Amino acid sequence: MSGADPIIQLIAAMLLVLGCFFCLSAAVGLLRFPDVITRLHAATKPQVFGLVLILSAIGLRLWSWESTCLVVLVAGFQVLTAPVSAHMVSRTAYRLGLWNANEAVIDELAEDLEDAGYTHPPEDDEPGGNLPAGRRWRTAAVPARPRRDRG
Amino acid sequence: MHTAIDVLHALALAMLVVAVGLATKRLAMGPTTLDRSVAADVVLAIVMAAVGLWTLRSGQDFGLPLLLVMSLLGFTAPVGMARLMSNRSDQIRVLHEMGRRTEKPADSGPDAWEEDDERR
Repeated sequence: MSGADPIIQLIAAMLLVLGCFFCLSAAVGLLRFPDVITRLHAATKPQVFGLVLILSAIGLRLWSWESTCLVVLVAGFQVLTAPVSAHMVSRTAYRLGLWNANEAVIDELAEDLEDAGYTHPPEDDEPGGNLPAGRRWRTAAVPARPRRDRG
Repeated sequence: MHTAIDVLHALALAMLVVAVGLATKRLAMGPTTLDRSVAADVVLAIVMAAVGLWTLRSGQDFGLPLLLVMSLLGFTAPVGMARLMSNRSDQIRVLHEMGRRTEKPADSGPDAWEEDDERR
């Protein structure tokens, strides 16, 4: 039994089709979700899982020690780096206010920021944006910039 | 058996082509730059899947170092875009770092940041 066996190739082909279906579902989710932060759900979870399935198909087909080690390494790097990029993008989107505060159910970052010393700012409106409402955070360390009264 | 395997490979390739088209639509359509960076990451991951499909069909292990390099370097694009976007202040609201509000004295001239306010 080697990688060129038709049975092994059939199993690898089925795993490949399943993995590509997950990649397709990731792309569909990227189109259908309403927000940057929700699109990150689609861009990371099914995408990485589909890649893991395709890599396992490759490992089955090639059927050697070095290719299996490389496949495991690629899957490991993918699992390690996808949360890093998703975390940074989502934190940036949170800070920039690119999320809908009315639709978000739980905001765990708010309590952590408040514990760290960032206080919820008083309301002030600023021109330049019809984005959905978010929150802006301020530290207590840096003194406030005096605002001119635009009476 | 071999025709069934070929049909499955063709089906997988068709799904990958459709997925690239959808991700490119989000790349063009996304209202913010972060949307586009996420879509670029998805496009790169689908290209990785296509390289995997080619490795599977050809039977050579030529594409595995390519997959390794793409997985290592492919995540730097959204990270870089996120770091770039967190400093922009012209179109979108930024993280304001303010503490207690200071009382403005009655007659003090415009400060440096007030000239910014006037210019904006």
